[in-house]
Formats: sequence, C-alpha cells, structure tokens
Amino acid sequence: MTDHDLAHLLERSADRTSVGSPPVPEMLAHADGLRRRRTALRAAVAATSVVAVVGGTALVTAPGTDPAPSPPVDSPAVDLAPPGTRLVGIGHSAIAVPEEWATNALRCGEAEKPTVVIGVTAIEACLWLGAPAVDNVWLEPGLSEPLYPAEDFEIDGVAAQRGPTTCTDADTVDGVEVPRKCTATVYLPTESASYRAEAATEERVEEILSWIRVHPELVALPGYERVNSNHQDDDAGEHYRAALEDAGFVVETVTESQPGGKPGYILGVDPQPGTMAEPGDTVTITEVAEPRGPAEEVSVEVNSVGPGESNFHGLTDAEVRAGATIRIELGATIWTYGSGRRIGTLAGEVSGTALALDDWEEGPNYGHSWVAVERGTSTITITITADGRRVEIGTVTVVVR
Amino acid sequence: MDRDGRNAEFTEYVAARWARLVRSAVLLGCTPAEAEDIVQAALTRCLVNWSKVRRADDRDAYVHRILFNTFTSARRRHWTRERPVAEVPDQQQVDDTTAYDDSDAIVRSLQRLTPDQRVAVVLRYYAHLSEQQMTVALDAPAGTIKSRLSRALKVLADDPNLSEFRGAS
Repeated sequence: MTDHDLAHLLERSADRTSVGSPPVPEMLAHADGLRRRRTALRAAVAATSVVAVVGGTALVTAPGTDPAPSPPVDSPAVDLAPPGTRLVGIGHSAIAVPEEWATNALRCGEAEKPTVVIGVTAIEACLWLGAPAVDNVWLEPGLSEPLYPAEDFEIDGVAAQRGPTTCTDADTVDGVEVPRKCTATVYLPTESASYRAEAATEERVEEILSWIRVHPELVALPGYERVNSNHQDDDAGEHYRAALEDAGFVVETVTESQPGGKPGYILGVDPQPGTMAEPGDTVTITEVAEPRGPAEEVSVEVNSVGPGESNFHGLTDAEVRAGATIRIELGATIWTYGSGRRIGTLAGEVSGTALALDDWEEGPNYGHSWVAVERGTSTITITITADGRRVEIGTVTVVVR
Repeated sequence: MDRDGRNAEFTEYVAARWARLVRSAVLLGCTPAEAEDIVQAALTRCLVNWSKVRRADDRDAYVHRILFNTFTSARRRHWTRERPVAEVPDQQQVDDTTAYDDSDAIVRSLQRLTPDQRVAVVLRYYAHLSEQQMTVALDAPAGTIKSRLSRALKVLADDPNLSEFRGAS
C-alpha cells in the first residue's frame, strides 16, 4: 500500500461522515465569555505574581510568611465552584473550600487559621503545641500513609477510599493547652490525590471531606518543588514543563535573573499549583535565567554585628548590587559572604580609613571581614574573579558612627 | 486587530477547515457528534487566543495542536467516567461508531494502531500536515513522528482488512 492509497482510503472513509455547518455564532459568543473571564484572571494574577516569586525563597528566612498566595478566584473553574467557594485540586479532582480560607497558612506545620494546604515541600522544624483546632485540608499527590481500615466509595462515579476519622484528646502539656483535633483522609487512586481534613470535631471533618468533587473537564495545575527546599533536580524546568504538558496545558516559559541561582530552576507558575483550569489553557512558568555574566553566577550578602553581639544589620544581594549604604557603630565587625559557582574568589576592596581588615585568620570570613576602627565613611567594593578577570558585584558605603 | 476583524478572520478560517477538522476527529475515533463538539471546543479555544494563532509560524499546526489536546482530554474524561458502577444507568449511550466502523475497513484497521500511531496517520494522511507541522501539533520530535508513522504503516500493510487495497494505485 502506498502513501497515496492510504490518503485516498482515509479520504473516502471520512467523506461518509456528513458534517453540519460550523456553529460560528456559538463559538464567537462562548469565546467572548471566556476572554472576559481570562482578562479578570490576568489582572488578579498580575497582582500576586511578585509575591509568588518572593515566596519561592522566603520560607527559610521568614517563617510564617504565606509561601503561596491564594489562587485567583476568577478562573474557568469559577463556574463549577459552588457560590462562596474556590476549587483547589489535584488531577481532575478538587475540593471546594470557602473563599475566605487562606492558602498554606502554616506555622511549624500547623494551621494558623482556616486554610487549604497544597504544594508545601518544606516545613519549619519547630513545635507549636498550642496550635488552634482550625479547619484545614492538606492536598498531596499520592498517599503518604496507607489508609487502614479503608472504606471504598465513589465521588462523582470515580473510585475513592476513605480512612477512619481519628481524634486526639484535649490535653495540657507543659502548661500549654493542646486542643482536641480530628482528622481523616480521602484518597482518589485514579487521580493519585489525597485530601486530609482536620477540624475540631468528627462532624466537621466529615463535612469538609464532602466538598471533594471530580471535574473531568478541568485539570489542576500540578505542583513543583520550591527552590528553597533544595530538592529541585538539575532539569527541574524541563521536567515540570513535561508534567504540565502531560496535564494538557500549553506552557510558556519566562526567565528571571537570580544571582547565584541555578539556571532552569523554577521560581513560580502562574496560575498557582492546584488551580483548576481547562486543558489547552496557557500557563506561564518562571525559571531562573542563564546568568548574563559572571557577576550573576554568585549571590552575596553584607552583614554587620557589634560591638559585641548586638546591632545586627544586613544587606541583601539586591541591595549590595544597588550600592546601598549601611550605618554601623565604632567597633562593629562587617563582612561579606555568598554562594555560587565562583564564590571562592570573593574579595572586598576597601577605600577610606574607617575600616581595617579583621585579622582573625581563623574566622570564617577571613579576607573579606573588617572592623570599624574610626568614625567616618569607607566603601567596600565586592568582587569575584572569573577567568582571571576582576568582576565587580557592587559597592557598599559604610558609615561608621 | 479589532474584535470584528478578528471574528471575520476566524469565521473565514472555520468555514475553510470545519469539515476536515470534524472528519479528522472522526478518524481519530470520535462519533460524529462527539467530533463536532471537540472541534467546536478546540476552535473556541483558538479564538480566545486568536492573536497567538495569527502569530503562530504555522496556523494549521497550532490549531491541530489545540485540537489534539482537546481530543486527548476528552478521551481522558471518557476513561475517567468509565468506572465500574453498581447499577447500570437506564440510558445507554448509543455508540454509533460500531455500526459505522463495521462497514469500513480502514476505520477497523485504524483501530489496530496505538493511539499515538493513529493520530500520526490521521494528521499526516488525512489532515495533510507536514512532518514539521506535526512536530508542532504533537509536540514531539521529528524522529518520534517518523517512527510512529513507519510503525503504523507497517501495521496497516500487514492488515488483512486492507489486503484488497494493497498494491492498488
């Protein structure tokens, strides 16, 4: 059989299907509706995207900050969410949580206020005994602990399993009142999605779990490992793009320079993971850009403490590059350090007589640590060496008071 | 481009492509009604992003990409829905492909292909996309597409259903 035969056979076969005229007016009207919703969605997203990127690195340094802002409520899924709720999900499954619930409002891994938790890969290592018993639900891909005994049931015709509801007793530990909390998990094997609800009573857990639905026409944006959890693989961007495309999305990639960051690491996705969207929708992922030069291969900080152990001041990488001024006390120590490929060549050139090299050779920052020895102003120009060339990162003005 | 201009351009595009897109979806295994729904949904998505469709290097390749995504997700939905249930619903969905397929050797043969091979054959030999366009439509490297096509052609060549057509040209 030749190519020509095959084309001919397909043509003949296809011709037997009588096709009506295209429903152009319906498509035009439907597209107008979708476009209006999308415009609103973009506006909501524009307002949150900065927070999302900052959130990518904020968890370690600023516990308690919300690492993932709420998904925009005005999305195609809005039609399917009961009034006053928003959908957050995994695969085709989603839970309709009250709109006022926060996203990832956690402290030490405990809910601070009613919240849905999704895509959290790093939890602060601390204990919060007195965490209140507030409504919350955790969404996780897969099932972290087997459900026993598991009860089989269906959600919208899709097989689901439910574990027993267990409650802890109210208690007082070290003088701290620990409230009673109940929890139960529902798992949907076809979606590989688990939903763990927690609340003060069995009845409320039951009610929260009853909000899970399956929406075959929508699919949740999959999550990704956050940069600060240090778990991203070397091809994180490539793998995440593939996961999004497998889920049916069209992926656009934007890059953002992040000094010292690994090119290809994912900083954010828009809309947020867990947002229910239609396959074929476009999602935008933000990756760490290739460094534009050696200066972007490192991330630096300038910190100061003293005299003694008090009066800590710090400058971020961005502040250093912007040429910030730092005011320190006579007798204080100021040093620079950083991370990245060429950080071993980090050096600081001091002008002025207010600072003198800290001669503590055993110190961790020997060579780029100074002591404020005189009132006045000095500058520190921070450099690295790349391929034998001196590369300036930034100049900090130090005012010694 | 203003809304009217865009709508006019879209209407013209749809008039030219509608029947072939619907028939492509039928060859992919949809019932005629399902095919019209899928093509309508895909084209609506294209219209929402029409500026992107216009800018695309190859409009047909992009439209087929959206069509293919829509088709795949509809199939997935079908699969998700097909769970064993305790009670069989009263109203059975009429599967008119079966009756239709039985009278049609080529459709029967297409069913012997893997889903990937079937899509490749339909896009290449019915939608007449070039291999380059198929890399865009299926988001797969040219080598993958070539190998899907050549395996599919081998299966079809060995298919007794099509023996009467073999060598006839």
